[in-house]
Amino acid sequence: MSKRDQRRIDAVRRTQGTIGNHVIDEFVAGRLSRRAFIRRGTIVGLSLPAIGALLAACGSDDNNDSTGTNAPGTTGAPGATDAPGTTGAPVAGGTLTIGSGVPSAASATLDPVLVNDQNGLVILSQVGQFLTLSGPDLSLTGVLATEWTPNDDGSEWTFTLNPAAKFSDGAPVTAADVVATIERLVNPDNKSNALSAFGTAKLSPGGTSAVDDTTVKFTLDAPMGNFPYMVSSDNYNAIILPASVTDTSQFATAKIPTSGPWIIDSYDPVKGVTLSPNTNFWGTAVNLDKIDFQFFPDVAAQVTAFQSGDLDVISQFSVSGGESLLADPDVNVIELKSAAHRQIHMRCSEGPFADKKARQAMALVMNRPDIVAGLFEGKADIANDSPFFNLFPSTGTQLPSTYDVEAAKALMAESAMPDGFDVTLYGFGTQEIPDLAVLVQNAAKEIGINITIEMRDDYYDNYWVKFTPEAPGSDIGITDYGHRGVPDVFLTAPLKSPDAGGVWNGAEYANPAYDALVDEYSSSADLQSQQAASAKIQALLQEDVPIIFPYNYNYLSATKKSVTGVVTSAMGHVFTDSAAKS
Amino acid sequence: MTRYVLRRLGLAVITLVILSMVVFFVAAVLPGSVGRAILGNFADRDAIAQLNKELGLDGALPARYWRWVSHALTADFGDSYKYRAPVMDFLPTALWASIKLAIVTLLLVVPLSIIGGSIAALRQGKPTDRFITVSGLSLAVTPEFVVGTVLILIFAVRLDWLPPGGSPDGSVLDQLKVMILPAFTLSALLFGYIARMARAGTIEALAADYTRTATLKGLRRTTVLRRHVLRNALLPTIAVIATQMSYLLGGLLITETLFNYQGLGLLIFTAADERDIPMLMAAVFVVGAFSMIMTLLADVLTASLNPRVRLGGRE
Repeated sequence: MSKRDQRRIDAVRRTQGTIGNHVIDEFVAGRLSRRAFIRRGTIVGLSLPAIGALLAACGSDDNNDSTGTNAPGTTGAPGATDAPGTTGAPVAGGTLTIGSGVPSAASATLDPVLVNDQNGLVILSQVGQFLTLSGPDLSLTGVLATEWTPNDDGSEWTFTLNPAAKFSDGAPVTAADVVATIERLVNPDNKSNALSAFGTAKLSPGGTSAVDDTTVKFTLDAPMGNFPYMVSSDNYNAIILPASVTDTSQFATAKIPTSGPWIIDSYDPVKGVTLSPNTNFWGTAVNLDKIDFQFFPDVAAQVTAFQSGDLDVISQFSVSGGESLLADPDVNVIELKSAAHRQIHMRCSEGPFADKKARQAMALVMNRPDIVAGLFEGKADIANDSPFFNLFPSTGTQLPSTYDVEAAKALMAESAMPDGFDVTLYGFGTQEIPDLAVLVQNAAKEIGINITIEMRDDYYDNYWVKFTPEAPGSDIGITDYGHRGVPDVFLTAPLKSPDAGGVWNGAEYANPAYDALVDEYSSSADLQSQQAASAKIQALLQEDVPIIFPYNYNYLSATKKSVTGVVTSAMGHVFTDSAAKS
Repeated sequence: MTRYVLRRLGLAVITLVILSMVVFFVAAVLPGSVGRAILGNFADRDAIAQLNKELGLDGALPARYWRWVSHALTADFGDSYKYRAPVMDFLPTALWASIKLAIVTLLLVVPLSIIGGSIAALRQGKPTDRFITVSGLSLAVTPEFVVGTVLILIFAVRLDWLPPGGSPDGSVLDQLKVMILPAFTLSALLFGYIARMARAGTIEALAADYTRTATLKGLRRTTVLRRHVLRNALLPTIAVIATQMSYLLGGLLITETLFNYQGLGLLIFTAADERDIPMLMAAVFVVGAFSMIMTLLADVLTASLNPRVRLGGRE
């Protein structure tokens, strides 16, 4: 390394704290790949110019930097590229028509405190902005924040706001606005959908404070290495609103000032929403004149509307029901790796699966490649009984699960119930879950476990977690989990001991060693430590098998060939600020 | 006649009261918490409990029912749990959309099926009769989503003549364009049923003494058919059409979903699925009331045309 390069690295180092310098050390020493360095660097608040300088100093070409340099709402989105085969040159103006599902009850008025599904969040992120953006490749870029830095142990995070940012009424976005927004979301009295995310982030009421007009400090109850994700677009409730706003309940129609590129023109919770450009937008003006979101109660109607030309974009579709889109050469299918997955919990505290050998045998009879091929036509990744999916940098090396029926039979023979047993599998009958239940049933039969399937509307009330004596939970059940940019929530809520934060622990798994490992992982701000903890957690979960994680499936969207610049995220966002039609 | 109508009205009111009780209590015992349905499966348990309390769901069922009835009597159906706005902001729109679709469907299917049924009767046993009967039955047993999907693929996707669905907004022509495919889908479903009724009625009327008398006294065949056969043959058909009205208003879940047509059927399904009890109660009540009115009208019409009905067999 030349002296000039060394000087460039030293210059960046002087602007960083302990954690930032540790990430730089790892990269310079070659223990972090270029991609991992970019991801990790953005989390700990290394600015993109600093990352570029370090990449250049270490001889890495950043021309193909997949994180990009612009955030939505400024001048484009990371990963925004024209899809292959796009036809014609983009022109200014026009209406982009997007199909999406009907927002849920919680999302019906687009109240940012309550929105809990992608059909609501996809609209929120047109009009509102986050401090940071979790991109399609899980790297973070600044939106309202220009930089963010942790203290030495990651228990305090300081965010600097972009002084140019302003709301649609012309008022600047200040630290007081951020404090008011976040405090509203962490207040349990508000029934906020973000409570679990901020619970995992260890941010309590009163933990957010304004240092000055453009500086916000988050003081956590304990160190948290991935905190910037918790105030990013991954936490879709966290769009920043003016401090003067006290009632968000009718957000869709209340004309509340927002800082994003679009404003809501009209809203019908049954039919859809139309958006027009925010004339006070502080970033680069959008290309389009209008966005028209149309709600559809099911995917089939969306697909036919898309094929007949009524829609330009389908915000999300699944393999089942979207086969014709996947086979259509005139459609741009956007496919993103996602952490959305299913968990098959097995109760560890009592019942037939209390014997670890029975749980291990169940894991061994899951033919994951066949399941992924059958349910998703391969558009999913095999998971290995831990939430450390391949897409997370903190996973490190994924420990593979094995398919071995003979070994499973041998384990069952040694178990407390060698002749097998009867058990009822519960679940909520949505998407491919009933099919997965049948596959589990067939697999279990091979080792003498006779499963009766019950898909129930009250699964989450009574059969998921034993909340009360009246809610019995279940010996085995299937639960659906959506995407997150980091695995922290998956590691905590369904797996940690109930008194240590395991509020969704249907498996009733309680292992102090596991809890300690997750704490170790969670408080690690550097990737090497996280990967080290990940290896130990994976090994422990594969030994104890409280939950079978069979797969995490890809997020699919579709656009017409005439549409460019649409960027999606596995969380369900559809960023349109750079979108155009030809 | 007045006494007959009053008796039928009394029965309709009693039926509506029973209907409201059944819907209310069935909705109340549906598995799953309203609070969780609203806040989401992963919502905090304390938040769910708090919301259930705020919605008054911790009260006794009879008291909750009485509260609903006392407000409903003044056309106040309360606020939708889902939309957090008055039910009446949504119900009339959906009802009007369903009524429009029902009218277009009936305008299509009634003439077609009566003509088809009558022709089949007049050609009884001949290939024309068999063709109409078999076609009608085949369409009646073909699921709506199959007929609808085929129509969409041909007329919306392949030929691009009509939209694949949507809401009936804008000009009359735009609304008609949106409604044609769903109306044809429903017509295909209803054609066989109504045509069979019309065929059976026509065959019976053709064999009746009054038809033979009319023919023997030298009336022209078209006059016999118009004045004596069809008039009598259509009595049972009117009753069938009236009963189909309630189905067309509130039972079109599959068709409305397939065509993304925001009518009452979809509203009822969504309300039931998401435990939006005020919306569900009001929508079912409206469909029930509409069904009663249509049945009453059909009965009155039948009675006015057939004195034996209104006299209840007392000659």
